[in-house]
Amino acid sequence: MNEHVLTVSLLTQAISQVLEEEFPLVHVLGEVSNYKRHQSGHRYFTLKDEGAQIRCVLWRGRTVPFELQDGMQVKVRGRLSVYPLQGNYQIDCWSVQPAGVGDLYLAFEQLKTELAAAGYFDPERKRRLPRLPEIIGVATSPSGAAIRDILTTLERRNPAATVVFRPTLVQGADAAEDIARALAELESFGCDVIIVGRGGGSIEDLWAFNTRTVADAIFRAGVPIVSAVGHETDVTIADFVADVRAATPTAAAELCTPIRREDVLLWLDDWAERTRTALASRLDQAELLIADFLSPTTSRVLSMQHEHLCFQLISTVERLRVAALRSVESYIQQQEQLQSAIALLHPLGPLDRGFALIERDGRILPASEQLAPGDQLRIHRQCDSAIASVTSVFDPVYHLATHDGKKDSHH
Amino acid sequence: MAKKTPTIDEQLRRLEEIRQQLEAADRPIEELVALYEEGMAIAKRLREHLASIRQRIITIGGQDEHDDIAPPSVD
Repeated sequence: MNEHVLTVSLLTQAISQVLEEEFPLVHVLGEVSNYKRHQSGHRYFTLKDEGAQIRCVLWRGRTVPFELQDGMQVKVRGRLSVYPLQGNYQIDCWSVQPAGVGDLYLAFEQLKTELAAAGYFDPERKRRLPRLPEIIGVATSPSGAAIRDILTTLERRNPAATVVFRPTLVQGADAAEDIARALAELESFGCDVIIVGRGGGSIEDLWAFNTRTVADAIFRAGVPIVSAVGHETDVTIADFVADVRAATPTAAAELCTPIRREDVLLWLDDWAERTRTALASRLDQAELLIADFLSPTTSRVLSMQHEHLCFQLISTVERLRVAALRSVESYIQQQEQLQSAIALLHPLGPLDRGFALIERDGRILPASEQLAPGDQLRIHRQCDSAIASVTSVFDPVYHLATHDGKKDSHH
Repeated sequence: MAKKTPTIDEQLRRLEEIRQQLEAADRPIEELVALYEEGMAIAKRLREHLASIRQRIITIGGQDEHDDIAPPSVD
């Protein structure tokens, strides 16, 4: 017997050659089971239907727009390859797409639930759009109706706003990353508000706007974001996270220009009118006041006031004059009192009151000198003088009897 | 991008302030006249600016970065 004996390796190599040459590209529909994400980032799962199953591998770096789960219907695209060490074959997947809307919807719901729990959709964190943005950022595809609608609407409503356009990939494997980068670039450019979106398309076309990457980028943005994805009926995760969701790109541009150029011009007219009126009425008031000042009535009131002032002045002067007179009078009085006091001190003063001066030997007799009988005295009174002789002298005791005696002695 | 001149919005807010002060009229007349003159100058400038302004589009990012590209023609 000529048995052709092969080694395991040779056989496996031959099988590998046949399979890989025969199936360089396959599209396979099936249900995911045994899904495992390895630490290395590679993902392994089994694709199955009612009658068969086949191993699949999704190498690290190959992205899927959603997290795979067991039970999900997917369509994989890849090639067949053999893994000699374990003697099995597998599909080396290039891409995995949800098969049918049902599963995309599942992925959408997954992310939505997760982000809602993380607070991405909280109404409190929604910012108000600026009423007159200076710079409006736009992240969308350079081709397509969206950018055209946005630019024409912005120009029609408020050409004073500068538009910063960042051409952006809006579908395909790299779209989510590019959208995130675009938002960051527009923010750092100084945009006051950013429109992110695209025109309508299939749910797969819009898928980038249902990714965690874009949700995170909108969530992190420091300026208000307006999302405008697809048509009115399309709602994406991006719409939930955005500060405002616009039904269409045109609507987004309108939301970013709540005040149009015409509105500002009309407002300026109204402003000028109201301001002019306000100032005019204030000036009128002032004019009235001045006119009132100059009117005859006012002059009369004024002269009455003047009279009153004069009267006050006069009475004040009068009071001062009276006070001055009083002090002059009292001065004169004092002078008179002083003069009479001086008069009292005059040596001849007492003569006025009936006293007499006694002279002996041609001079006024001092009190220290004694009288002696036989002295010749001259007696001076106010009205006359006399020569008298002393007959007797008494002790200088002053009492009535003495006076009487003295009196007697004179007579 | 540094914003050195006041924005349109800031200027409108200033005008609003001026109008309120003029309507309240609780200041000396010289101050009111000065406010009025300030406001009129702002309003005139704004009006001229808005009347003559053309939409400015700047394209950033990507391979070729160039200023002021014309908006896509509408047909």
